Amino acid sequence: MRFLFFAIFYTTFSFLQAQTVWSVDNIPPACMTNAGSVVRSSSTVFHVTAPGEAVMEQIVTITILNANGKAFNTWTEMEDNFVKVEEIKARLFDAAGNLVRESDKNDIRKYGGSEEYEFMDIHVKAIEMSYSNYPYTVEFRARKSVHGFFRIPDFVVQRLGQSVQQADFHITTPKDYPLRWKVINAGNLQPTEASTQDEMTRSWTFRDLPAQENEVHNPYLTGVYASIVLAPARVRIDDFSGDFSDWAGIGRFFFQLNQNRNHLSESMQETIRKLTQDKKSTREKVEALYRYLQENYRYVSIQIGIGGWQSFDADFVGKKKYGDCKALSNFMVTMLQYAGIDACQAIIYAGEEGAPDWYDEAPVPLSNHVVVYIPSENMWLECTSQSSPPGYLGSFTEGRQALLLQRDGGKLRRTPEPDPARNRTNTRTSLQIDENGATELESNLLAANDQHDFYRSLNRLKDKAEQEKQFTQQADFNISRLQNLRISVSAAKPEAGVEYKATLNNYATRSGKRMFVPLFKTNPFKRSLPADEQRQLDLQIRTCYTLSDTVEIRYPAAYIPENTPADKKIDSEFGSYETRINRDEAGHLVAIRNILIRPVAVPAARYNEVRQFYQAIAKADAAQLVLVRKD
Amino acid sequence: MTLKSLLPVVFLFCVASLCAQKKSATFEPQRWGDFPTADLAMTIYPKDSNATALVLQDIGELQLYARKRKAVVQLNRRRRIKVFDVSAFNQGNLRIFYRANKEEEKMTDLDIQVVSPSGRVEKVKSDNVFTETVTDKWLAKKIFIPNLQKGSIIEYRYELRSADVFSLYEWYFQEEIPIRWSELTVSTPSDVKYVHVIRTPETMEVKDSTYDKLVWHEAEQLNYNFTKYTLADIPAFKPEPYTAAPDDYRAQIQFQIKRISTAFLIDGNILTDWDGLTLFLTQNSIFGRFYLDSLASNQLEKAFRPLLSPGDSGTVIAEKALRFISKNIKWDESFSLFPASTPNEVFKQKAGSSAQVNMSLTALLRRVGVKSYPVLVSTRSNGLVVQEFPVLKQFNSVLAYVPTDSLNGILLDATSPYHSLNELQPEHCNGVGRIVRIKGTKWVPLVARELSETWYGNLQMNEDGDLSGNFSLSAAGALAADWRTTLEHEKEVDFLKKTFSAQLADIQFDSIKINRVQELDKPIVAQFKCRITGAANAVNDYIYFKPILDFVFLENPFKSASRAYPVNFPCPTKGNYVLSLQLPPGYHVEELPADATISLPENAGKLSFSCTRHGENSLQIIFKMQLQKLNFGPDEYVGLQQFFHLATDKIQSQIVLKKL
Repeated sequence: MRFLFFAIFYTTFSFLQAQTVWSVDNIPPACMTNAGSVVRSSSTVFHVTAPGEAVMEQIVTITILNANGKAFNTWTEMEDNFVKVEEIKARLFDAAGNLVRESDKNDIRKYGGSEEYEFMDIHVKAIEMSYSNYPYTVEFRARKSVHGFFRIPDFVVQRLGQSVQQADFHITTPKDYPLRWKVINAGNLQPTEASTQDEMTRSWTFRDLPAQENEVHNPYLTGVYASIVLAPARVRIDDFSGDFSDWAGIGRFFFQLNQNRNHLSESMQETIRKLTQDKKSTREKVEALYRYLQENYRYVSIQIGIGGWQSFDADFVGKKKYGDCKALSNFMVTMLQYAGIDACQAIIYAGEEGAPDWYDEAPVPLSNHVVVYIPSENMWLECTSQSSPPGYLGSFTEGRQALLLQRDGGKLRRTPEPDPARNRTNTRTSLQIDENGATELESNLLAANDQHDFYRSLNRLKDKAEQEKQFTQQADFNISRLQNLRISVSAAKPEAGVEYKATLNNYATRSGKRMFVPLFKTNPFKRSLPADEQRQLDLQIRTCYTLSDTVEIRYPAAYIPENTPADKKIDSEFGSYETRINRDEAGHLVAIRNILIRPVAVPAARYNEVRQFYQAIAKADAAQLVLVRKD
Repeated sequence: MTLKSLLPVVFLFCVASLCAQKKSATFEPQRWGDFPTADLAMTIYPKDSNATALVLQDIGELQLYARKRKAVVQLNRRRRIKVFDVSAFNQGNLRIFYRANKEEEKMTDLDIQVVSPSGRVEKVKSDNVFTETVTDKWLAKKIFIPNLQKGSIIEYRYELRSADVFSLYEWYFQEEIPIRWSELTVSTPSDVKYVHVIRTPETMEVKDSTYDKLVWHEAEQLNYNFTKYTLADIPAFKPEPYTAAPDDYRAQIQFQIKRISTAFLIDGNILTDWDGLTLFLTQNSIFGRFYLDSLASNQLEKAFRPLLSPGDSGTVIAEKALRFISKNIKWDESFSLFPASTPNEVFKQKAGSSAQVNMSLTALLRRVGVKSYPVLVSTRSNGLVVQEFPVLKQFNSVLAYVPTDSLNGILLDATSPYHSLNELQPEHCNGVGRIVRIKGTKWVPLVARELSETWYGNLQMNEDGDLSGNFSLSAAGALAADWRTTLEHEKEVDFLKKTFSAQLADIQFDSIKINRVQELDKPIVAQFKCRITGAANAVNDYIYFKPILDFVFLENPFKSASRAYPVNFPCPTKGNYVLSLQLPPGYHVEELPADATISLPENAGKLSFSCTRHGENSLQIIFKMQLQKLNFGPDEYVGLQQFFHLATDKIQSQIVLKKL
């Protein structure tokens, strides 16, 4: 009886609590698994009133379950010449859903603050609602007006580690406003449509989406969670209108935005003549002008209003001797044109992690960078680097779509794919080990492409001591004394050569009469993937390379091998690994190793295959020579 | 007045390349726009041929005067940079920060020019100058020097005016690039006195000269004191890893007011000593009022009262209050000295800075009758504390203090809900803090608890080199607070994967139990069963095995051959690793690594390694390391490096087993 009373009381009590709508008790259990935060309810309205004119309103309520979801207690809006934040406010609720507090104007913090080399007229307005105890719930309301745009922000339904109870997205446009969209990671979800006399509203609704854990090396840029890409076909920003129906139109818009910005002063034209007059081939002329750019111009990013999209005039850059990626690229294109070489700017999404997909059915120029393309040479130029060899892009912009901005419209063209055969390091090393295990190392290496970047930046340091310090820091083994470090880099190609001698105090380790000598620790295989039996997301690793190493090992005569590692060969579609251990004519042990690691893009189901491949290599690569003293 | 007598902090370290340069230099700074041919033609800096750029001269004039009976602090600075190489073109991107509030600071008279190596002077026009809103409180002028060339000289000047009579402007004599001449002239009315703190490496010495002069000011003739501080040929500053606050080691001068005159409305000595500072703070509206005014914390008290029991001792109440504050007001991960809102407001906000959290605690304890005082702290990354003078500006955080019968009382730090009494987060453990207590202000040592980690393993090996058995890990000190925080949101198995087996590729966990998560004064313990595949290397009847599966560190963190500045550790560290290993049946011990014991001088650190047989088929491996000393000077660096070298050597050592 007593028990019954308690049960009734308890049910009533929790029922009362449940009246508080944001109580954590109202979150379905399926939304709790793997979640750091839960979108309780979210409503986004993007209302286009005319091409380039819009109002965006959002009401988003998120429960922060633990520290993994903490970032979502902050709402951030960017404000610039085109976007005005009309309202931003927040409310905070405790676990039971009781209102703790409402934000006031003091909670809105404003940030600008960029790097020393940049100035932007953009600033951020942010509200952070912290609370002492998890879980808690924050509700944000934001409204902003947009005057001039060519992109509509993606409707992002959820993030990794976040579940969604309910999310609605609405876009309202004039009836004749051409709009396309692409739904990502939500099957073939169709919007519901509703219209008034003049306007059409399309809505997408999402309910009860479980959280997806963040897993290493996932293709997050191409979308690992649900979102909707919106592609307006008619755009307007300042006095520029464009037809964004296809890539040709998008390219034309940006080409026109930058038209007639290709003037250079007489003296600048004279400089170009001098630089190119004795050069025979187009390639030589390109190289001469590119070097001139690198040696005299620096990257300074100034973004004001339409200047975020429109380049400075080439003449302006010529006089200032600085500019951002657009300005330097436009200046380079102009120099090339004066030298009679056809070239164009290309917009691209730069970053080591790759780039988001671009969709023909919903074309949106999602980009953050500009490079130069020379069709006749099929050559790309990165104009913001003061040290890259001509034609070298590197992992920052390799292997992705770029949109060439040409007079007759835009054209898509992929930059060179990452290629393990080009990203290579060859080393030749000799190890002289003494009775105590101390080792004298002599090595030279040749590195190319991605693999050479570090040495090129090292070579730029004029301070030899600093160079040695950084080299020692990044080495995979402990260098007690470094001698004769010599780095040479090719001016024409992405290649570097390094020679050095070093003393390594504990390269070989001893136990009594035995000595253990690792074979490949001077350039070890380092990739590994964590164990994961329930991998959900596709696996994507862009970095790829080839290593070829020859290691000669000399050890004291008093020692003989007890165990010499056997030759190994591992083959897979993800790469290969091979070692051969021989003796040279002088009787010294020589270990040869070849590793090929290809880029990986496989479904989650094959995660463990890749992992096992890396693990097999790691195990083989840890092979050691065991020596034992003869007596 | 000799300068030496005012040098409370002189760092005893040596920049090797500099030893030859300790001569008294004289230099006549060039006037604005006057560029000597030698400077224009210079292609390298003879004193540092590696330098890609050089500050030719950096001249500051700092004056204090009254305007309409309001104090004005004015800094006029002109600076000249020579650029030698393309890789230093970033020197052409200048940034000057100043306060957004015009009442607090004004930036005026910015004037910039660039001179080509041929001597052509170009005024830098305003289209190269931008004003950026950094935060609500700070603005920055951003200047992009146009037409910058190899060999160009950049010259610029500006004026900053503030009302900060308290600490004037600080001056750094050292930067990332070398400086040929740095000079600061300070002029103040003779009856106003400042204390200053100069920090320089041992090899540098700031010269000063001083004189008095009558100056006409607002139709009044005043006696002014002029002091000029100069330093020549200052090498580039290169920060190193494992330094808590790199700026501590840059040559610099800082000021704080000691005596102010009638010309500035307030008269008398204000900050000659710590008692003066204490009085100043307790009367300050946003410091003293915060914890002294009962109306500012009555709601906090009301919420806390029910948790008290009759007869609770001061210590018990302190502990309850620490729990209460740290659970109800979340530290927002920022440090501050002045809590901008009252304890009641902070309690309502549920989150606050270090000052808000810890001064709410002070206020709460006072409301319930426990004597409590704020303690001024400079965090580790903020830099060392000058004890000789009451320099307020050096502090950036606050702790709570409760005096007891024992000498040092109790320190409270509510920035983590996992702190027990006297437990401070590592950033707060920076030597000493100053207790703000009228007639009782004193230094209190801020000692970090020892960070310790232990491993107890009992494993059976099979003949393939696989291991299986039990492990128990425990952590104390700052590491325990870390574990407790992580376990709030991380699955136990994920936590173990990151904590125990980051370097073991193939490990499976079972029966995980985490104990003492809430018993804050005890180590937290993780117990589990595990199976590690391929832990040892089995080849041709032999098994080779590295028995140290995990430790505080596995690689020597000190790779550089030499060191210019001290190495700072946040807390004493201890690691204990004990493994009982059952050999695979049919195998015997062929060889064991040698035992070793190593100590650093003066008990700074020690380590021991042993590998012993227990019966026919079992081994016990014990590895212990302790590092007691927190600061190692550059002269002790090689010893420290060697210590870690030997430790990693033992971590790498191997056991050899052979089939019978």
